[in-house]
Amino acid sequence: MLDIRLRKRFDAFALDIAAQSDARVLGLFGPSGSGKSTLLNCIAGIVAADSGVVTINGTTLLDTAAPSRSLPIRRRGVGYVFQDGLLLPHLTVEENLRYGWNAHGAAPEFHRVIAVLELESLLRRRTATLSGGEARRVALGRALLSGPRLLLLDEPLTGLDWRLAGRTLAFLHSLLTAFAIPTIYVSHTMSDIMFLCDEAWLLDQGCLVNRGAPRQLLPAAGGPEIDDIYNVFEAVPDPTAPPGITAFRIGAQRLVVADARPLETSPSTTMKSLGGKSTAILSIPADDIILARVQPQGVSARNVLAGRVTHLTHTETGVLAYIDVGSEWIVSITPAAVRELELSPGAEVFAIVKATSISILGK
Amino acid sequence: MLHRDDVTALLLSVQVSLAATLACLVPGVLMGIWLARSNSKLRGFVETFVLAPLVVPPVVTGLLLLILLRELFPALLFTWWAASLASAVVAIPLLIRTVRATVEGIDPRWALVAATLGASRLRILRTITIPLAWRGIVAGATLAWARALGEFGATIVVAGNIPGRTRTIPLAVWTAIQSPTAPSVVPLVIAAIALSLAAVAAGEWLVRHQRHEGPFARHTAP
Repeated sequence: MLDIRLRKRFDAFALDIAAQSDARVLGLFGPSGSGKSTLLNCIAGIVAADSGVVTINGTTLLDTAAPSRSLPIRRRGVGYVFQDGLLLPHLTVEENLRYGWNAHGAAPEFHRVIAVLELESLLRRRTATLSGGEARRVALGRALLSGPRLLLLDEPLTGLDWRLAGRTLAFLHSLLTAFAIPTIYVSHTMSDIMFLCDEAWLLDQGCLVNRGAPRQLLPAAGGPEIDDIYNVFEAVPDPTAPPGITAFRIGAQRLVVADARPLETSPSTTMKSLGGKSTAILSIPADDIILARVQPQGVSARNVLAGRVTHLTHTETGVLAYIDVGSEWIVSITPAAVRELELSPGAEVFAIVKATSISILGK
Repeated sequence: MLHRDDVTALLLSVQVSLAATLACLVPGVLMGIWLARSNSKLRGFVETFVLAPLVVPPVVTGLLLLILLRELFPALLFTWWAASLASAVVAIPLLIRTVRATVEGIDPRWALVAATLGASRLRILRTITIPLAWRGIVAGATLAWARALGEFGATIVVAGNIPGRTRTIPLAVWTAIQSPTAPSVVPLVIAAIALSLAAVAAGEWLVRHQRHEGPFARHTAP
């Protein structure tokens, strides 16, 4: 249980938030300058709040009314992953990872973290030689190894190209699954929040303007965000797929994927390991899915999945159709298409997806 | 050729300037870091005070030191200790300024990251700030050493000009100029210039060849 009541005033900006959350992974979404990073900084103790209380699972991190109960930064136990990673430039990767690690404390086992984040081959490298994605993984590992009560992730995908961001998202997902640490995840895109978080808060001008399940919150996020949605979901590799075809199962349906590159580049996501019990994380842009009311014949697209509309939401730029094909997908369509296809909740549809529109993000 | 007294002056200069630099090192580095990082209201005042020897004439600094020493440690007056102290006071602003400028150029968030990882202030100083500021510390110490080597005004006030005890190179040169019968000062001047250049070159070499992580980092990288 996370309890946040914080006020912080700057010259032209004021943060004023009071809310509780039971989410294991809480997403913070909002435009630049909405107060997301300030909120994290106040929780971590890097910025001194004017007034407020922060508690996590019964431990008081900050209480401005009773300063003796507040913990100094180094005792708060927050694993803060900054936007640019901020690895210590004069230390190696391993020295960075071990900086906050206390073998006798509550910290997770060193080798387990190394394994989940696939850092083994990087340990002896200098931080300056790491790629953007590698540096983020090391920063994540370092924060995790300090044995935090609370993980604060400040836009850990920003600045990475799309493919690398996808891979890092997959690593984040395995990490948050493997180590159940309460997490606040800040992002300016809803696609990753929808995939990773149990709950999302929308922030604007320092205030909490909306909160709820990330998928339901998407229309409220509004603006250009709606035009750039990726459906990110887990799928099990299909062992019955013909040789040479990469395919996954979603419920009883098969999804054929043309993209196999990440499978070759990452040791833990080889076809062999995917053939076992592990699942893969796939991504499809909401714009790239076509809906049909009757099963199409003779189409070049490799995937035609039967599903049902669960609900429709009108936004400023169009309509978001939520469909259930065994996994819930969001499809971006026009109001005219909704009228012509007579779409409404419960309507049966077929989702048409090109094999080349689907990306494999990781294990 | 160097006269025997010249060699004595040279060795004494090295001794005094090294002692002065060593004496500067800890307070100078800590003060430089504090000035770069502190939000204290006293900062401006402290800064003016510690940097004053840069702008106050050295003779005046020496006079103030003389008054202070006479009250507190009169036995030190007119010894090489007094010469070292005078050199240190005049040289320390150069170290402080260099360290401050270097630390101001270091992203303060590294220290914050270390704090979130549980590091104490002392550990942050030892493992983050000093290693990252190492080049600036070496450069500042070299400057301070060179300044101490040439110190004249404050030294002559608190330590006098006693051959073999407090007569450093600048004082020896000055003494030689005063006396028309003294042997040629040219060899000593050449030696003094060579020593100063060697000091600066040594500092440059250290800055360039020392990896920037400083003396405390463990080297595990290939």
